Amino acid sequence: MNIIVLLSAGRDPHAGTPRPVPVELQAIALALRLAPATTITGLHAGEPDPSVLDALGHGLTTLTLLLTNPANDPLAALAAEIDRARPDLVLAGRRGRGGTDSGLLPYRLARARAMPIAADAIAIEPDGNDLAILQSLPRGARRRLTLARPAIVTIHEAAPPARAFAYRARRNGTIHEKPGIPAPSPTDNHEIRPYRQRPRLIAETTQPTTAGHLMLAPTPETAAAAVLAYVEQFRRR
Amino acid sequence: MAFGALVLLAWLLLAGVAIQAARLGLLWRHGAGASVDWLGGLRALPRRYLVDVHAVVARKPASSVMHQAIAGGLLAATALLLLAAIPALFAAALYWLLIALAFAVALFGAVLVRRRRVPVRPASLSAGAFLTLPTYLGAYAAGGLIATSLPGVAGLLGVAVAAFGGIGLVAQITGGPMRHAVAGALHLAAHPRPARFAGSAASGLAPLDLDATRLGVGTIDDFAWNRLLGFDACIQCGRCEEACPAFAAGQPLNPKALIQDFCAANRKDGATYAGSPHPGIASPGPVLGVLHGETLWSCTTCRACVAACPMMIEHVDAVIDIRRNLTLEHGAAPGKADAALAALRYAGNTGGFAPTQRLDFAAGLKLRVLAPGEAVDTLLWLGDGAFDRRYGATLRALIGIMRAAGLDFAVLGPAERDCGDLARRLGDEAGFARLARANVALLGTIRFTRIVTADPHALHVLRQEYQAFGGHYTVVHHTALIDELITANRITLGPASDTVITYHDPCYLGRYNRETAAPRRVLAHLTGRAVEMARAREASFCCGGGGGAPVTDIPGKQRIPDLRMEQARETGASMVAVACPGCTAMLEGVVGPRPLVRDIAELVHEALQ
Ligand code: SF4
Ligand code: SF4
Repeated sequence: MNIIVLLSAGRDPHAGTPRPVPVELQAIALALRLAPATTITGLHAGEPDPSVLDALGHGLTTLTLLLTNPANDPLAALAAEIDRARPDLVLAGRRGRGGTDSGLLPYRLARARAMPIAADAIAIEPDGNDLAILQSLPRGARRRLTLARPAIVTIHEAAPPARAFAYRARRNGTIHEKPGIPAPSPTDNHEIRPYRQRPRLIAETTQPTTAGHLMLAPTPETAAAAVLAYVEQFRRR
Repeated sequence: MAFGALVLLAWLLLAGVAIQAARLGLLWRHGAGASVDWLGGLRALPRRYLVDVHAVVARKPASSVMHQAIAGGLLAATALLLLAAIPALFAAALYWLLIALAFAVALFGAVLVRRRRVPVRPASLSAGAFLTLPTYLGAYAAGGLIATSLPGVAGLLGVAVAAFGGIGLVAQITGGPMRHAVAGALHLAAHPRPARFAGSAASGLAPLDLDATRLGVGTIDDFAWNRLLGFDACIQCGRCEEACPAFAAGQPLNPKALIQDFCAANRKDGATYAGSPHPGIASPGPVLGVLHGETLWSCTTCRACVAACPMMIEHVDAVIDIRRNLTLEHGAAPGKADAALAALRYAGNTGGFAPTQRLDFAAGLKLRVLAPGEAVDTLLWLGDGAFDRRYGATLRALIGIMRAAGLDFAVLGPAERDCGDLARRLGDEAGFARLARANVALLGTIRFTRIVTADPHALHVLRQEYQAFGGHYTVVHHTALIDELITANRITLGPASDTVITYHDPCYLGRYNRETAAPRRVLAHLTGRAVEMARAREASFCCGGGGGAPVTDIPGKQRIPDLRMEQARETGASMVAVACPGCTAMLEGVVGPRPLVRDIAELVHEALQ
């Protein structure tokens, strides 16, 4: 089986330094359970970022680098390489975690190449010409899926652990550099804001709640009277 | 007749020794190349033997007397016999009296050798060929004595007995105890760390060529030939076994068995080892065809074995050489090692913290953080202990002392990276080299006269191991600094208390850097009742925190810090004074009622006036 593992230029969440995306390293480990190392390639569009190259220390033996400006949209370059390499399976991480990794890319790639995509796999097995996938759902639930090859599968953190880093493999790994396809980034004119904690969504309860009182732009006096009246109910008699 | 036969026998035995030595030489040639200063080594050999080896042997006086009698008597008698080929000497009756005397001393020695194992053989001594050794020694010495003192047939009979013993001894050179004599002498001359004999601590690890095809030691032949020679010098005296904290805790490591594993790996006929094994693990294992990884990962790199070894064998170098192969080629460091090494690789500290958190402990202290191009007298190296709240208290105390003394000091703050000690001991030489280069480059951007650190591991690495990366610094441990400040009256302490305190020597300060006096001088100002544990100074017992042992976490029957705390309890002390973040964490982790654990800096800070 021919497998491509998509690699992002990850960043250490605390130090901000280049660091491989852990779940992508788990994807490599999962690929190694499916196929010999020689049929597995890492794929990255951008610069030879150390975070990407370090994936060679975790079981990958070859890496294809599509040289583009890291600010570019990698989609066209990756899609062209997938057309050329014709993999049976493309593995990717499941969400962005602060580097150049985007949780959307696998889906955009699936749409661009009309490939089926499954999210959050923790195990993959060949099933005739198809792929049997075990998907991780919230609260430890699992679901079996079957996908036709070729397919894109994103990997969940609950997948088996990544292989430990080995310096010699990192040093001896093969890196194929090719020119990528320049394309403006679709996020170029997006606004970037710091992360804000959202209130937690709580499921609706079936118990009827005591009706509230909605006041629109009350005067301070009426508002205070309403608060006092509300507190009054709890007064001990 | 008997005299002539005896001289002939001595010459034949010498030839036998030469042949046997050559056979050993063929085995050592399996090893990798090493540059050895033969001339200097051979010239220094007598001194290394009489001074350095004797200093170690003499720690056990009974063994020392035994060895002087047997080795002195045997060598003197044989050398005199060889010289008796000169007719003038052969004719001198007094000369033969001298030879008889030497044989008598050797006979006395042979009796002492026998007494080591009879009637009871201590657990740390090997059986096997060692049980026949006293017989051969005794036969050679007694036979020689008879041949030189009795006339006629009795004398000739003496020659026969001496020949029996002598041949037995020479036969034992390739496989038995007598190997240590030949290999030991050559090992002293071709020692891989000659600086050890020149009064230097010489305990730093050597860098590795990271571009080499083979990284570290993956097969026995990857050891340098003089390392193989060193292993063969082992006399199985068991001193390393008695010293080893991992062995005491029942972890699967016995340094003596480890060295014998290497000897076995270098021979086709394999193991003849008859001493105590690695606890709780069945030999042989897969590493080098003889060992288990667990054995190597149990080592705390405390160097107690090296310090105890009369044959000057370097166990820790061998352990690290193999760990380098396991980590760099196979990513095989167990437990949390991979996570810790990744944290070091990407965040520059062992916990994977944001670099700015290194100064969290000093909130409100307004520490001066050096920017590139700035200068300061004393650079305070915080170390990775700074991320730990408990150790932060020690650092705050140290900063309080330095301020009280009016020192001009500053820190690197977020720019400081871990010194690389953990990476290097876990075999990740690539990770160490990266950290070392980054720190040396950083230190090159500022000016300072000296570095002070409260972490003996950082001290050791900055002082001894950065030299190969172009970093040459004056590094002072905080206990030495405090000692200096007290002596110079820059700080004054209140009257000494009467708390019974015992001081625990950190391995990387005491053994690795031979600093044992300053902390004790400081302690003497703090209490009138300082007591010593049985294992102190050069012979100190590790806290269990070195060498990445807490990260690889190989299980044993007991925990090393529990054993050390028990030793502290035995002194009756109510407090253990420490001087290292690792020791603090390990000893404070001991559960149940126990003496308090306080860093010397904390005690001094409280006593400041
Ligand atoms: S290695 Fe050294 S200390 Fe250990 S048994 Fe051998 S000679 Fe003795
Ligand atoms: S360095 Fe310490 S732990 Fe390692 S073998 Fe020697 S005595 Fe044992």
